[in-house]
Amino acid sequence: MPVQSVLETITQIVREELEDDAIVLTPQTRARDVPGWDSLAHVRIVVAIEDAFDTEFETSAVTGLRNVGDLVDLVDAAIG
Amino acid sequence: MASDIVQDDDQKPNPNADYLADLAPFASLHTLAARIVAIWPEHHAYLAARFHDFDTAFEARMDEVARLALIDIGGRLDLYVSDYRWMCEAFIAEEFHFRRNRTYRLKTFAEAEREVYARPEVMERYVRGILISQLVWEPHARAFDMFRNAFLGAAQAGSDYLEIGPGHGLFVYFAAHCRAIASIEAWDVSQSSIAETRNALARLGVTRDVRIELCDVVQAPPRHEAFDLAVISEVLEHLEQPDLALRSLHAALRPGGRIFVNAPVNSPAPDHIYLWQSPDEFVSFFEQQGFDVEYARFFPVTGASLGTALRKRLSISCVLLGRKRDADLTEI
Repeated sequence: MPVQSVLETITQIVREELEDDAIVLTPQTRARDVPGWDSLAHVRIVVAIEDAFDTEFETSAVTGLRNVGDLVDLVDAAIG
Repeated sequence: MASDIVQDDDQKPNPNADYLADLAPFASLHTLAARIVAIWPEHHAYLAARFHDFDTAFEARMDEVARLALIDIGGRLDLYVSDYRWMCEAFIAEEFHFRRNRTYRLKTFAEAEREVYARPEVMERYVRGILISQLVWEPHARAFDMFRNAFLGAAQAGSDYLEIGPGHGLFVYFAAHCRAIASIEAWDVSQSSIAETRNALARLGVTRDVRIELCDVVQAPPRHEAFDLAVISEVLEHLEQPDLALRSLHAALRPGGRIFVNAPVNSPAPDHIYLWQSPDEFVSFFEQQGFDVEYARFFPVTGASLGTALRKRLSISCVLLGRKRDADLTEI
């Protein structure tokens, strides 16, 4: 899947989980830049991404991400 | 009807990045928050959410609780804050399991005992973390405030008080300072927890007689119709059969006796066993054990509105003030 499409899917998931359609993500966006994206929301976002891409990440891999770009790369690696 | 009790509040809380400035008049809360963010800077956003739309009267009351907690903690605040962080990280691991499987990881009391209660090195850290969460997690703080104001504040003179799992002793402390309370008794299943509570009460300067018994609330109560007030906070979700605990308290209360119940729904933790999936479900469960709800409040996880918490199945603390309904249950 193209990187842009992964980013779009993640953006949709984050908007839905945080109930904010105005959220715009870029690869440089950090969780702390997005209101409401706290550690518990991060769990819900990651699990929704797992469901969307039919995969499951190691917890250690998804708790040390620097930004959305790292998350896109993680998904990209998981889905090949 | 339970569904009439839950109000769908959709107002998003406004984070307060200047919480340390707002907390300046409240020395104990300020000390606590400043130490947390110094040791764990990444917790800043959570604290900003916790102290949203700054409620001065509420925080003034919580400052009194924080003052007591700091007395209990003594010179070990950094240790307590480190263990609070450790506990929060353990909760995140449980949250992953819950979101993926829609169940709590543990199903039995024996599992919780093996992983948590029977391991002093785990239990000690957990208990320290819980004390900090009592002040920092908004649902915990709001529930405690309801206990003081709405429950103890409405106690009739001469009331006999019973608490299950007194833990850090803060509920007992305020009961001991309530003039309407004639006697105080607490039950716990752990001799070491009882010793901890006694030590905490001594450090807090509680001089009133407090009877603490080794007694399992899910068994038939040792005395029937002996109490006017019963308190069971953050206990039911740790039990395989929480219905037995409430029926035991129903039997222990005198006719018309009042009960304070606090339990979370959708709230994974290293030792939570019993899952309720909504406040409605919890209220129905409570009513089925022979109590009428007189007042109910539902406190969503810090940072979320109640509406969001209901839609997303986030943790919600259900705080019910109830009264024993007579003559429709066979006493156990």
